[in-house]
Amino acid sequence: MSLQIVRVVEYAIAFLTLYLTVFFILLYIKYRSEVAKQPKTDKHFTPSLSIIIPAFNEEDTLEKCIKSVLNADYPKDKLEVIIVDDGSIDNTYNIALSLLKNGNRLRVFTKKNQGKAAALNFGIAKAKNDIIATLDADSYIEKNTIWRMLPYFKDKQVAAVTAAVKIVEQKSNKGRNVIEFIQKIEYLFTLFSRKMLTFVEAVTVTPGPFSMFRSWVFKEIGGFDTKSILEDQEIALRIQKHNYKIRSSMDADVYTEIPRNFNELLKQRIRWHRGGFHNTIKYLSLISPRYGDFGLIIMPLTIIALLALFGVFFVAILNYISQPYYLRYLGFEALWLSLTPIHIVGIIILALNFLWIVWGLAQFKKENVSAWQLIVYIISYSYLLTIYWTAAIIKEIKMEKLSW
Amino acid sequence: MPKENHRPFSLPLYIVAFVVAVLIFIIGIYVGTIIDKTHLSNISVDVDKNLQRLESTQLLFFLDDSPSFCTVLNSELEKLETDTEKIGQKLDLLADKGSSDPELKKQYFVLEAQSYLLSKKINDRCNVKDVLVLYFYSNNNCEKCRQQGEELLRARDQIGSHPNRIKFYSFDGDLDSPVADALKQKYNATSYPTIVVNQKLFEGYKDLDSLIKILKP
Repeated sequence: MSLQIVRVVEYAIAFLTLYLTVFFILLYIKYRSEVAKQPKTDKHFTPSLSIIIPAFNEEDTLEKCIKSVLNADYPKDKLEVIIVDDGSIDNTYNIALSLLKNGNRLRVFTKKNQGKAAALNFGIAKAKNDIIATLDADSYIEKNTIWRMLPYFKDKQVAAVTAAVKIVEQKSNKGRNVIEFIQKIEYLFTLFSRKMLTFVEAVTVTPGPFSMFRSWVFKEIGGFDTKSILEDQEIALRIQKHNYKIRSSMDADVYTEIPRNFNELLKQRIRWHRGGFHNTIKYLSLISPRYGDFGLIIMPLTIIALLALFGVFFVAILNYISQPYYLRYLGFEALWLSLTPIHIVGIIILALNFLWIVWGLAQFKKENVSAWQLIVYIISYSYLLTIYWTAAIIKEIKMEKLSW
Repeated sequence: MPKENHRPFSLPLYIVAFVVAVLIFIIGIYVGTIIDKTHLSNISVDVDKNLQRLESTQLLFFLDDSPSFCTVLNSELEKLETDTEKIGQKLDLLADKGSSDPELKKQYFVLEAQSYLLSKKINDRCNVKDVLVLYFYSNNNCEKCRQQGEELLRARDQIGSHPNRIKFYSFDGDLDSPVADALKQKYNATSYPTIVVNQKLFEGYKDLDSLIKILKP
């Protein structure tokens, strides 16, 4: 009897995951011309802009970050830059002060260390302009980044616009550092997925590296949540809850620092996944027909697909541990014999996801991604994801303090 | 601030996605079912092939009764029986997955039984001291049967195949197979699991150490 129930659950999850994959493929086919079209830069549309840079112990990267903003192409009289030193114990504050020069619109503040969200809110309170952007101190923008994001604000219902977040590549690695190129592909792919999500109003993150918001958004729905460790996702979910629009740029580049070894990467991902989990619980009410495509399909199915990935992995491990003794005599033939209809559906889902990834990466012709890098990424992605989630769950269960 | 309800609800997209997903799903399940049937029919072909090989080996046995022919007969039989055991394992794997064919299983028991009888005769004529083990089990009501099957294989792996081989012939006594029933009756096997080692009966579950003692030639 219980075997029947397991079978039904298995088939249901497989179908729902397949449905979500097919949905996204059809979404791309429907909107593929719009994905390629970037809005035209309009130099007559120049809303006033405040860029807030919260910084905690970022002496290595802060100068490059601030200089990228000072060198950005935008009317200087419409731009102010607010640096908030969050009680750094290194040279961060001094570096910021040293960049203060006549007429360069830089404002530098220092405050007690209370976390990134509090630093951002502090900066927002000091900001005077109509559009407020948040920029991470370990990231830098290009000259035309600002011009490429602003056109989305011509639609009055757009509350926030995300940049095209890419990684800072270390030339010395020449594409051989696995941790680096896996994240490179991951970021490019996320960029593509986020663009697709705008077509169903389902963007759930306004990334910390660089995002722009209308100033009235903070007045109306509040500032960043100081209790969340993933505050850039939390505010995006809150924007969704208020039914405002979030748009994504695919060509307004911002380059951000990434973890360079597995331990750092794992720490980062544990924070993302734990934060993501808490944010999702906080906004479970978004799963409702009231939120259209996003509430009814995207959010619930994404959660189910994630559980499916996890489930598949654990079942595979369980099967391996409890496998019958005689399997050792059959060798590889055992794999062929063990194929069930669900496996076939799983293989189809994998193939469709591969297609989705290839379409996504094809959007970025100037980025060099080799075939073998792609293969390594695809093979390792689900394992890595399972490791991140397992570590995050273990930390959750141990009720370790949420921290940076 | 402007807040019209703009939540898109792309119903046509959902319906098309649903139809496509259902089609793909059905195709996937169908392909999976075809693969299952292919496995079973391949095994059926193997069982028939092995029965034919067995017949020709039996013929060899009857045609030439000089002891010098023993090495040839023995090596033929050894190859045959290794293949036969593999077929049994494949059938077990498929059955675990939910894919079984009782008629094919019964045909397999015929192959095993003939193999056993020939092995006995070769043992006698060629003065070979292989250990012949009949194993009776059932898939309904026998909780220790699965474990017993695994322990038998483990025991053999531990004892090794020198100087004498240990050969297993397993029969599901609850499948209404005339061959299995006849063998059960011959050796008086009434419960599961039961093993018959060189014609001696051992009823009930035996753990790994007991098995090693029983099976050591």
